Amino acid sequence: MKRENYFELNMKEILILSYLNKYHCVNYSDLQIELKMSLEEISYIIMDLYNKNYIYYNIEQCKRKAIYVNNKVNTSLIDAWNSWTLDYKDEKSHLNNFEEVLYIPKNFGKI
Amino acid sequence: MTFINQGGISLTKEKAMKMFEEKNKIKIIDFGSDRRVCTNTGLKFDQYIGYDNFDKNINAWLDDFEEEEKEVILKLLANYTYVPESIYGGYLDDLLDQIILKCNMDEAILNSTYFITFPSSKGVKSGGDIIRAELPLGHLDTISKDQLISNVEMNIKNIKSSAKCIVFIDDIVGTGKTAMKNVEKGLKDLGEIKNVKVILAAMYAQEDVISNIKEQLKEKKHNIEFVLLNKCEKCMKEQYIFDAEELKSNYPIISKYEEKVAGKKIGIKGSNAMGYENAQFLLSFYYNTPNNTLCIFWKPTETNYPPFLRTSFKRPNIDDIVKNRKNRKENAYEARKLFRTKHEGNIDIVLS
Repeated sequence: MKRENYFELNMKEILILSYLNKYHCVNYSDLQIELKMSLEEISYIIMDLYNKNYIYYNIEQCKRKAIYVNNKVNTSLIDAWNSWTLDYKDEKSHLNNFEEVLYIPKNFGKI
Repeated sequence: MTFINQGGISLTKEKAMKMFEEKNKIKIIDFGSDRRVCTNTGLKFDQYIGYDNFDKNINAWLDDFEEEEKEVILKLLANYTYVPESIYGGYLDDLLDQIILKCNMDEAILNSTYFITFPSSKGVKSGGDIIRAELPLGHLDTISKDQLISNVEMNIKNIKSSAKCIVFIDDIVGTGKTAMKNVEKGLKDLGEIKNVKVILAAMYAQEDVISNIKEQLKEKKHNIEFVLLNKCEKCMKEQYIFDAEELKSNYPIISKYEEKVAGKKIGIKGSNAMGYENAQFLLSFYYNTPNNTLCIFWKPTETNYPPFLRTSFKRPNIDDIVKNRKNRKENAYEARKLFRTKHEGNIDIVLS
């Protein structure tokens, strides 16, 4: 199947696809805080993604827990939901700041 | 471990929480209130019942009740209904299944069904917003955003041209007044509608409230069908949690705390004591707690640290609660001292 250029998707859609690719269901409480988006906006994006065949149901029963991303989406974009999250970035920037503040001399072991 | 023993009957906090889990078919260890931990561990995010906050919140909440009265409060907790997000969505799917049955059709009827939610009276996030977001998740193949209506007036043409079924839907019907008002307004806005099934669907309601709405709508010649997923009972109904003998002794205890936290007597207009308009619900959803629920569970005060805080309130800091209690005790001690020096009598200052 021909893969579409990922630039056809905007960043909000990519974020939601990454989330669905990891969890296959939607937890609005989590997504709303993470994406700083309204419930309505998130649900509209999900409905649009379905209509554009970016997502599909993998089973017939309890469909809301089996939302999968279609393989026409470039997997490298949606493989790592965690790397998009604000929490992850906060943690990373905290670690970076820590490395900047704590200078470790190369000959530390000889001191 | 909180252990309460009253007249040979005992209910520990741990037992009450276990009963809470069993009633709601959930396990607290599956939930977390820290999103970072949830992301890394696969726990479900929940603001109220995380393994890391529920137990602590219950402990802080129980602190304000008299030791010998805690068992009564714990019995309420053991019978409390909590609906986490994953179950909420499942209930909406169940409601849709029942609506399909009512229409005597297959799932295709959902393509031409319009779902009308009720607006919040105060303009804040309401059950209606949640329903419009949650409802389509299990039916992306049949429900589109045009079918999710928050304002009938603005969608009359759309609805009248293609609706085969119109569903007024809410997660809770409390006193029935809001539902009645909104259904009547919606039908008035729509005007004459022919060959369209009209349904009022509720996730939770008391049966007598639904019967009352049915009667009123029938009197006004409205032909509406009803779908009720979960029947609620007033928690003080005999044989629901307490038998007649237990009610005699427990009702005064519960009502005392309810009136203290509500700041108003039961039955007074606008009072939340025993739930708004004495509805006596024991129910919370993952996004909020209805005010029909007993207010000790959701209303914060200087001393009440509720486990299911309503989102319109700010939970006081636990340190503030401890500080308040300490201050209260110190004040009572000082006051007692003051009275004694002035009156030289035996007086008792009641902590309140």
